[in-house]
Amino acid sequence: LRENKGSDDVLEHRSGSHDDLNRFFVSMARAAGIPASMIWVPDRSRDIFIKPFLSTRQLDAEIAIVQLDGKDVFLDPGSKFCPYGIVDWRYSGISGLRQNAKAAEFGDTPFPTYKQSVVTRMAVLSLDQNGAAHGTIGLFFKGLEAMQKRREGGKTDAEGRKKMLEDGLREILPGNSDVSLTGQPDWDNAEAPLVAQFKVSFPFAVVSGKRLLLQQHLFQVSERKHFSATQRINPVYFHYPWQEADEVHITVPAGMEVESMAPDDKVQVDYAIYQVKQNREAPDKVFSRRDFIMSGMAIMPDQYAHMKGFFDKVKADDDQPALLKVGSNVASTK
Amino acid sequence: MWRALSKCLLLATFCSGLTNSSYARVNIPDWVREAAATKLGQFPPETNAVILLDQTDYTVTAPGEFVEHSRSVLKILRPDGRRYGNPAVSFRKSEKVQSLHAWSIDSTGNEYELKDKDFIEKGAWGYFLYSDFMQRSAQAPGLDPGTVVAFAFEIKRHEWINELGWLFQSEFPVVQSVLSVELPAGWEYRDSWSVGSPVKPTQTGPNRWEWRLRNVPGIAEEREPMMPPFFALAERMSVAYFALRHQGAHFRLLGASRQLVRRLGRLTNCEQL
Repeated sequence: LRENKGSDDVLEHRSGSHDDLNRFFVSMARAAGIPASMIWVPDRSRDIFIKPFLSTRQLDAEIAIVQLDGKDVFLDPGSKFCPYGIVDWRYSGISGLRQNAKAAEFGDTPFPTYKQSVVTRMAVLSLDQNGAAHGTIGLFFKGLEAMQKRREGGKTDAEGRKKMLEDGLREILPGNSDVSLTGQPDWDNAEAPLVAQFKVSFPFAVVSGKRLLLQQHLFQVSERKHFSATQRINPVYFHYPWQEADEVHITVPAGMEVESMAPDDKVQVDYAIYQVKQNREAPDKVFSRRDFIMSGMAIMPDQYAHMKGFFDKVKADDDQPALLKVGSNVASTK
Repeated sequence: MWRALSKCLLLATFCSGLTNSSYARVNIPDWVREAAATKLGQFPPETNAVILLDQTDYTVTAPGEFVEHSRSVLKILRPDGRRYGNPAVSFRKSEKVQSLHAWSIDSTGNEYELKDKDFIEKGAWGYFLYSDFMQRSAQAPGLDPGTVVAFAFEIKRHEWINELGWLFQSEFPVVQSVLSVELPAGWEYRDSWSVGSPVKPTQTGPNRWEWRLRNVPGIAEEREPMMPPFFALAERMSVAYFALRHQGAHFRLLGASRQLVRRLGRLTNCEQL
């Protein structure tokens, strides 16, 4: 690989480092008459920016800023699969040194919002008398989540990407799940959500006499408790805010009916919202919806107990089971 | 240095030419013996190793040009600490490694010595597609709990910005950390501290200053789940230096050095990218 000594070289070599590509982008924007500049920021995966600490060793990456309609738009085309309007989380929500007309000044990249990192999961399942579930699951990754997945996928081939998605789903489903990707996700279009659909089959409900016990919030079945320690020394650091939206539709086995479902609930704190709803879509169909939004990135140790309480409540609600029983018509005929 | 080691080392295979005869004439320097004799205090039980000495001497010779001389001594406390005991140093292709030396003393008193030829050279970061950073590393003999490993090197370095760093906090406790900076006659410096209280230096020569810290606690990585990254928590210091004739031109911009201003100014210049 040849060294790039200017934007022309990037064009000629058709390659460059993250910073080379962002500089090249700014050069092109300027050539097109669009005011553009750069900001030099730390990589949040390894550092933060401390203003009084006058050390350039804090600074890692250069991000492009273009002015459109008088507004700054921060862009990161040097980060592979980074969609328009988003920068890699490592360079977002942080201060750094920003170019200005004369030289440089302190500046900030925008904080990521939960809307820029969304995972939506939907399952449509039929349950048999033995508690096994069969059906389809769709996963939708948007924004930073899609970017991360595409970057992971870019390290392997088509078979490797298929395995990556299937293994990822197996990790969150109950053990011994059969998971098969159907169709081809669009791995190349960074602007579109990454959509993956699967055919699945797995042991789901627990048979107890004439009853079936199941955790309606399927995508949290394998999730462990997030925070077990009662004390905390360091802040809790979420890399970026995120949103999860899950829907699970279950057709109950013939001859069975719903005896009870977990109650609806909503828990809201300053930095997060959690909401679950369950209902009967039809006499033989149950539905659950779970929404989770985390909008905070750093929770200080003095807020830890409060945050832990929130996550403990979420876990308790996620684990609430639904109970199915043999229908009264069936029972009376036996 | 040891902290960097712990993060990046993919250890080289042990140099097959290193036989017992290599250790026949072991000459352990006094500074290693002194550090090894340090009486240790109490550390958290999960502490894998302790840094007995971390000393860096910078001698600046011209703008961006300096010689880094480093001495470090680490004691392995737990079996998990073995992987931190192998000496390694990173440098750019354009920089010159002038000397490398390492020694180890195991818990039973056996002494070993590694010389320049025992180190192998390879790319510093295995996961980069391309990088100008190289690494010289060796495998120290006798790595077990109780073993003391010492490492010394001297490298002629070049930086684009007239700035030197002192990362005196590590994932391990540090018994003694020393930084010295020697500047050409008439040059000045300005120090800056990330967090904590600044330490006043001692002038140890006509244009040489020394900072010394003792008993710096370690920041264990993954001590708590989802904790901030190491550098967000670590205390560190930076020294910006400049020739007297440029005084006033420096730090005119929020403390940033003149080189930084130049760098930012040319970021998007097609000719000088």
